[in-house]
Amino acid sequence: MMDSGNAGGAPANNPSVKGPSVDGSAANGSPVISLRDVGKVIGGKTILSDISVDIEPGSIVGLLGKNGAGKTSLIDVMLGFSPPSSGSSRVFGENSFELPAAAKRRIGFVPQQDELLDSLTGAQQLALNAALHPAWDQALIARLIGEWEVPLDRRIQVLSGGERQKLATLLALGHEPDLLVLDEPASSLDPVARRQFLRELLDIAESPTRTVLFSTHIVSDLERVASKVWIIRDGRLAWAGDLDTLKESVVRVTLLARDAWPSQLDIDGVISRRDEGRRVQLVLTGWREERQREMAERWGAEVSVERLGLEEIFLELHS
Amino acid sequence: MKAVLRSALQFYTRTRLQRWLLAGALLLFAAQLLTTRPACPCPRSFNPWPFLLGGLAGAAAALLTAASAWDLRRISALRTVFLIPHSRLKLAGGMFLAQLLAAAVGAGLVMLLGDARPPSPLSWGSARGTFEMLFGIALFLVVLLQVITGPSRILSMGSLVLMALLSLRTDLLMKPEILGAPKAHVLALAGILAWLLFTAWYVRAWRPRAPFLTWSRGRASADGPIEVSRQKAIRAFLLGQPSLLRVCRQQLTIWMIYHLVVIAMMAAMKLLIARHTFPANYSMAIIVLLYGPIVGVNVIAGTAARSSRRLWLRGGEPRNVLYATAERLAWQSLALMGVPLFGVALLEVRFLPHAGIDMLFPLVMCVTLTPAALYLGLLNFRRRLDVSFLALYIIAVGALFAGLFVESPRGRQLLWIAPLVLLAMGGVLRALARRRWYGIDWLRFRAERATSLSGLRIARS
Repeated sequence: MMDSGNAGGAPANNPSVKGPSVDGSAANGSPVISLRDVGKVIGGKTILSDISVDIEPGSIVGLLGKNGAGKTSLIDVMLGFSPPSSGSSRVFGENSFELPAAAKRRIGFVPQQDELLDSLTGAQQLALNAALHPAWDQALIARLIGEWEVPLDRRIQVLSGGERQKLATLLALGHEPDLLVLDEPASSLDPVARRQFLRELLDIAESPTRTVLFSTHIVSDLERVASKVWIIRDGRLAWAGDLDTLKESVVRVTLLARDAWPSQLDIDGVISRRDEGRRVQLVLTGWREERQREMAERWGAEVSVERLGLEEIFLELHS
Repeated sequence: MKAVLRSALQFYTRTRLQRWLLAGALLLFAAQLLTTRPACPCPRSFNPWPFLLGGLAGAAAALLTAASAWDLRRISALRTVFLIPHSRLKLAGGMFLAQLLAAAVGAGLVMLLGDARPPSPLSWGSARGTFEMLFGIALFLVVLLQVITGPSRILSMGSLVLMALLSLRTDLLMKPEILGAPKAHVLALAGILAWLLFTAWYVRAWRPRAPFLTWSRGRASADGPIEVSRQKAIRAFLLGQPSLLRVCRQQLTIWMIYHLVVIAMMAAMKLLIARHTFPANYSMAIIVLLYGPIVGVNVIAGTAARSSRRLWLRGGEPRNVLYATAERLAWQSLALMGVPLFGVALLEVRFLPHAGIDMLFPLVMCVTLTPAALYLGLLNFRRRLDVSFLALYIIAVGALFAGLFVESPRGRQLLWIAPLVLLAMGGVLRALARRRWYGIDWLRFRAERATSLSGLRIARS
């Protein structure tokens, strides 16, 4: 469970890793999203379990997880599409499942499977969305259409996956939401378009009051854009905190001893262990510089420490 | 060859509805065999089985053929089918074999029925002629559906006009001098020729578009007004189409096509099998019209239910208001489809021959069934057919037979309880639909993804 007052990089029950809470209440009033002990069970199968986390205004949070880890389910619960089986989910201080219209108007959402109407043109689809939002910013949309090269005169059914994705994102931006939630926004874009799209995402999120949450299973996307990261594994939050803190906290330590290592090592925060004779490789969480010296003294071993990239951390967490 | 055979079987057993229909037809077949045994104590004065087999199983077979034809059309539009070499040839071969098997089984049933006991209720034609007729018609039906929903608008319209002309000439086909010269093998050969032409185009053509998308061309969609009201936008999101009129027009077109196809089939049956003894009878064609608003409103209400997720954040309305909007939309669609279809049916009941069958009772049954169909649709958040669809079908067709079998005045009086029961059922379903919508959990009904196991299974099949 993620508690608001959790200390940064503190080791947790292996292999789950707990980071500092993204608690907005301390920084900027009430959090945009607040989840407390959220669980979701469908047909006897646990989809989400024990998720407690907050998002502060203005942050860009990347939700990372394998296919089927529960990213979309978490977003569905968060935005009120689905009630939590246990715990509570609040957006802008309101119960997600009973969101009032005023709170909904502050949310922009791009679902994983776009909800575009195939028989319409892009322009008609935009007009439909504009009709539902009193504060539709046509100037912003016109600018983005030009920059993203979205064809509006063609029927949506003939648009490519990337063009559909861009159009779906436009629809979520037109009313200038305070909270933008994107479920796998760049999954159907080619590398060039993805890079451009993520750059735009950064521009969009520039406003200090706008919060962005996007889910992905592409680690490089997240590394490029997000300042905070949530890693979800098997419906549980394995990490929630600053991206930099995560990178500093999780390291690969190689210990080289004179004799073979015992099967049990009394070390906190071990995510994985590989033995190669007198050499043992550990991936540890909650790393602090002084632990290197402590280890060397305790076992009389050579200790070398290697920093990991986000992709390696992600793989280790799922190994 | 194995792949072709597998495809043929898949066309008839892929969905739960198809399997239910097959099981029902087999049960009827078994029951018919049992009751026609000499030792059976069943009363001989009036044997309902010819009517059950001729009507219910016949309608089920037609539905199966239509469903398999629709499957072929839908699968043809899949990118995977287009990319895999020879897959289209296998599909086309499988569909041909499926119609061959269906015609053989159908002809066997008809022969068993026709030769079961003297006097035979209907004077059936020869086994070979029956088979050729069924096979030819089945092939025509499959090709026709591909052409009507295909990429060429000219071909679609041409086929519809042809069907309309054919149905207009039904009376001419029923003249005794024409009936005296059945040419079943010509029909079968024509069916095979149509099939070969279609297959030649199909294996060489560019991937056909998904069905229905080709129907959405036209000014109303491409150049429609950009200024829309909030109410119109909400409707468009719920229906997935620009307007309710457009959706209802599509449904009306589909049901009029079915209607014309049944009339054409009846004309062919009259021409090739029943000959002089079969009285002109439009009852099955009329029941198709009666069935139209039931299925139509079920489909539209289901679309609104599945699209409701789109409006949760966009529209801003709470769940109860969303439900009220969808319910109102469904009732409006029922009015737009029900008035013309029930109206035409009423006219046909009045002016077309239906062999003395009382069509008033089925008409009342179908009208009173529509609220239940509407609320079943609103309950259906999944993107697939469910058994409720079959239940509606059985009730609608059952009404026709109930009108046939019950002869005593008291029995007929009792029959009129059924419409009241159906209305009450609609009320119960409304309560269930409200309850589901007020607490709807869209995550439970998330659409099958292309990468999911079930999605892959469908694509593979």
